[in-house]
Amino acid sequence: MAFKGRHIISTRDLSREDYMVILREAKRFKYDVDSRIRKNFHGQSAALLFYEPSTRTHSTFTEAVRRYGGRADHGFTSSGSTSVAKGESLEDTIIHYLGLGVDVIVMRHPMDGSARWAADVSDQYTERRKKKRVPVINGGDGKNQHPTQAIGDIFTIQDELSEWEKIGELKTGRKLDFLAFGDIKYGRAMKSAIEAAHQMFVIDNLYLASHPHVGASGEMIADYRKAGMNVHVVQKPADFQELLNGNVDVAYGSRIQEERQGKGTPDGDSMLQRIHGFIKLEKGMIETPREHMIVMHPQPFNQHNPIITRDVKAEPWAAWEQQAENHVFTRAGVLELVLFGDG
Amino acid sequence: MTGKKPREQELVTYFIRDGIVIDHLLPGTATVIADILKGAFGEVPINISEYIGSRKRAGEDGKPGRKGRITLPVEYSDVGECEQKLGEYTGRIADPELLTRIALISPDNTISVIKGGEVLVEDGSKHKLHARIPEEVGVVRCPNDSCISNSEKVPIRAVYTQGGEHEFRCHYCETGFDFSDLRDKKLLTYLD
Repeated sequence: MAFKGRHIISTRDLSREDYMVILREAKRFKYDVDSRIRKNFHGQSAALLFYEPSTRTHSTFTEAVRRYGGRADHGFTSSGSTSVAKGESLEDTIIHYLGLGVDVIVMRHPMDGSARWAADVSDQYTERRKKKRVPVINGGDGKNQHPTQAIGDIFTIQDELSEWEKIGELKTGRKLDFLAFGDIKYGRAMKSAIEAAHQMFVIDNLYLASHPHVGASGEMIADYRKAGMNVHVVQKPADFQELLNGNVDVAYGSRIQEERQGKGTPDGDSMLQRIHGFIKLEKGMIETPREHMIVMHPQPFNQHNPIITRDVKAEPWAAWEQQAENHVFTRAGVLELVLFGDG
Repeated sequence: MTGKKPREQELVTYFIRDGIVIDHLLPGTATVIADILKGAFGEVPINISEYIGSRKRAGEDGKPGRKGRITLPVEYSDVGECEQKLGEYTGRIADPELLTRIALISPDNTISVIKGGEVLVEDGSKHKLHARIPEEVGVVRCPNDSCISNSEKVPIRAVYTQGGEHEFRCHYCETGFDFSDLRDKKLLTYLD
């Protein structure tokens, strides 16, 4: 499917070929000097509508637009200071920004499916008003999807574990062994990363390491198996450590989402005490990793109960800083494609 | 009755002369569908038969299976009124949303318009309908309470996957659900 005007809502809409196109475009932004000085988005305007807090997604999209010559003046970072607080619907908010003449909308919203609805509203409006399509990019809709997070993550895997002449193939020549750890149940970025990584690199063994209370549901496990992955549930800290030492190519941590465990309530706090620290990557745990193994994390870290301790950030396998940097290039690549196409 | 073919004989046993017959329903679904029809037709006579013997559903042992049937006889005082009411019934039963709701509860169904004790023939063919589930369904709500379609005025869109992981998938949040969820989680919206 052509990219120009295309909505980027879900990793399910993206084929392997789509990922390849996006990765090549993002690579150009990262490594091609000409791309970095050219003002690709001159004259383009983006609306960033963030109904929920965000540090990275919002700032990387803003940087991607502005660095390459576009405007990111419209939008909000919290719905409290907008007409949403007066009860305005998502539909009416989207129509307002379309009426301002923006060229692309990036949004984050707490309800599942909200980005798809916004895309429908955009299409209906532009058809009704006979205007050019305005693509919607999903920056996270509830617990559902966060496609550009996944794109950025597979860019990092490609950049660190593969050669750009052979996109989608690991340097090892093998399929990918992937360890997900932390909050498997609610980790939206982790879920998207697994789906995208499987599509690009083919996951052979998927290890899901967590406290049982935040483990993968039966349906998740069945889905992964149906997709062809060998799924292993890991609920012992010793097994988790063993995997990190020579058995996986990528380890992907996900913050325990305290808000979903009822933090602040007696039962919630009691459960969190049991969950925190059960599976945790600490200094000294990794001594014999596979060559090229990387540990990823979408951030933010919970500074009080991190799933990865801060004293390992200088380790050669710690890749979350590269992940964060790469998101500017991958988001610029996505913007380039939906605004101008891949012709 | 003498002189009538076996099929016509069967039609007479519907006990209606003019009206609508919804036949070959999955056993146990006629009562649910009748409830939906009340919303479309209002306070009119509705006859419900459950677990009728069905040759069509005969098992491998040859014993008849079971089916449900609903008849909506037209009440009238003269021929003119009969024609008019039959026309109204025919129009109402053909409503796409109503047909979708019937099909969602019983994908098996045959809907016939009866006039003068026989299946109405129009343009040389019998007036029969078969309620089918369209590719996209607008009459079931998403089972995901966190879906945008359950919190704002958003048109319902459920994709009938016809062989996917689940029988239906919400267009917005991608949550999958099945026929059994329509019943267990009360997802079918009723006519206002």
